[in-house]
Amino acid sequence: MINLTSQERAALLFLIALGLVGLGMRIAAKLNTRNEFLIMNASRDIRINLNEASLEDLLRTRLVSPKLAQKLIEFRNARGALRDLQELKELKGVGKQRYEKLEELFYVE
Amino acid sequence: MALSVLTLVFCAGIFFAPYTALRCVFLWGAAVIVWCASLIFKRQRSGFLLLAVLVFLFGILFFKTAQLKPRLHLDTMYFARQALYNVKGVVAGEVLTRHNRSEFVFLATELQQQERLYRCRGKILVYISGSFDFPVGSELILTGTLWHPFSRKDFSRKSYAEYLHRQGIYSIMNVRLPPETIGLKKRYWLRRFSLSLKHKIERIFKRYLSSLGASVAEAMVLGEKKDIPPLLYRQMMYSGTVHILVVSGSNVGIVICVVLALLKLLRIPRKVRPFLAMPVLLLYCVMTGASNPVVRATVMAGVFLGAPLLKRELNNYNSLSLAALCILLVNPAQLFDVGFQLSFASVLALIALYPKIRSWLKVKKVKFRWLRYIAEGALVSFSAWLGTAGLVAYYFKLFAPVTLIANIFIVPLAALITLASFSIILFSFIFPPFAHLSANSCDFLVFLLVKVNSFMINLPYAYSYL
Repeated sequence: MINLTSQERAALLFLIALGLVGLGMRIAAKLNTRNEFLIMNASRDIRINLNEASLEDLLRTRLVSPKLAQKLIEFRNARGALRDLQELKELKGVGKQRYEKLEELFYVE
Repeated sequence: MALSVLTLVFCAGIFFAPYTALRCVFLWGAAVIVWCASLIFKRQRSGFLLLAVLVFLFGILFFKTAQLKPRLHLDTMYFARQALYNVKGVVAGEVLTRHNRSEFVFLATELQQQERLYRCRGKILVYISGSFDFPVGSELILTGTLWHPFSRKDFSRKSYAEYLHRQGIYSIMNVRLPPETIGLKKRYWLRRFSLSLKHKIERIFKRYLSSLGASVAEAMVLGEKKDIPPLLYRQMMYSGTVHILVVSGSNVGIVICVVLALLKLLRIPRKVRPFLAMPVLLLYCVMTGASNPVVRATVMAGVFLGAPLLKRELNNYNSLSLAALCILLVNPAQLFDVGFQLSFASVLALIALYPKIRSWLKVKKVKFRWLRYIAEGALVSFSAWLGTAGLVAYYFKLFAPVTLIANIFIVPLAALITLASFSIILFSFIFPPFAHLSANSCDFLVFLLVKVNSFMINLPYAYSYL
C-alpha cells in the first residue's frame, strides 16, 4: 500500500486533472477541427473586428485616438468591408510601425 | 508591532520630504540632536516618541539625500539639441525589442562631445532602431542625441516622467550610429544567468502553448507583459483583475511549495530546506525583474522560512513592514510608485480586514465546505478591493464594482494557469509528452479566463470612469 500525505495526494490529483483536461481538448480538436478555437486564440475577445466595430466601440477601448478611430471608420465605409488588414497600409498616416500596433488591436472577418 | 509603527513613521517621513524646504544639513543636525536626546531620555514613552521623531527625520533625510545628484551626474548636465554625443557605459537591463526598435537602460561612465570628454554617472534610457541583443553587462560606446525631455514638477505628480525618475532615469538617448562593443563586465553574471533562464522559459512556453496562452503564461510566471494583447490588458483593467498578470505573492508561494516539495522528495533534512529554498527564491526574484510585489513576497517568504529556525513567532505586520523597508531603503522614491502602493495596500487590507470580516460574518460556521471556500474567496476579494479601491479611483479614475465578482472566478483560474505553466516547465525537461497535455489544458484555461473576463465587463454597471 502506498501511503501518501495529503499534500502528495493533492499534487498527484492536480497532475492527473491537468492530463485529463489536456487529453479531452486533444480528442475534441481531432474529432472536430472547429474546436481548435478552444486551444487557439479567442480572437473576438482579444481583438476587434474592424468590419463590425462602430466609432463608439473603438473609442471605448481607449487604445485608439479619436482622430485615428474616425479615419478608420471613414476608410472602412468608403471601401466597404475590408478583406485583409493589410489594406490599412493604404490609409494616410499608417506607416509600418503604426500598422504593427493596429495589427495587435484589430482583425477582419 | 514596534517595527510596523516605526516603518509607518519612516514612510511618513519620506511622504512629507518633498514638502519640506529644509536643507539636508539642517535636517542632519536635527537628527543628531534628537539622537542624543533619545540616549538621555530612556523612559519607555518619551524614549519611544524620540525614537519615532528620529526615524521620521531619518525618512526625510534619506529621501532628500537620494534625490541629491553628484556633480558628475547626467541630470546636472546640459545637452544641446541635435548635437551628437558619444556615451560610454554598460548595458544595465534587458534589451527589449518591439516594432523594429530596441530600448534598454544604459549606465553611463563617460560622455564625449566633440573634443571634450567628461566622466559621468547616471542611467540613460536608450532607443535604437533595429533588433539588438546586447547581454546585460556589455560595455558599449553609443553615439546619438541626448535630452532631458521632462520638466520635473513636485514629486506627487503622476506621469511617465516621474515614473522614470523613480527608476533613476533622468536622460533619454536616441542612437544614430551603430553601437561599438568594447567588452563584457563580469560582475553582471547573476543578471545574465537569470535572464538566460527567463528566455529559456519563454521559449518553452512559445513551443508548447498558443500565442495567447504563451503571452498570459509569460506574464503570470515571468512578469513579462510585452506580448499580452492590448485589448485584453485593457479589459482586465476594467474588470479589476489585471493584478493576475503581475508576478506577486501567489507565484512566489507556488515556487516555495514546489521547491520545498522537491527537497522533501530528496529527503533533505527539514532544517536545511530553507537555506536551499531561499537562493531559488532570490533567483526567481531577480529573473522576474525584482518588481515591488515580487520583492515584497520574497522578503515575506524569507521571514516565513527563517522564523522557525530563529525560534521567532511570525507576525504578518512586522514581515510586511520589513518588506517595505527592504524596498524603501534601496529607493525611497518607490513610496510614490502606484505599484508599490497597490501591492502593499492590498496585502495590508488582507491582513487587517479579512480576519475581522470573516469572524464578523461567522463564515467558519458555514456547513458545506465548498460553500465556505467560495465565501472565503469572496471575502478575500472584497478585502483586497476595499484596500485598493480608493487608490484605483485616484490614479486611474476608474470605479469597477464588477471586481468583486470577477475576482471570485478569475483568481482561481489564474492560479490554475500558473500551476499548469509551472508543470509545463517541469515536464518539458523530464517528460515532454505530458508537457504537451499540460499545455493543452493551459490553453483551455486561458480561453476560459478570457471568456469570463469578457462576460464580466459586459455586465451592466461593471465599471465606469470617474
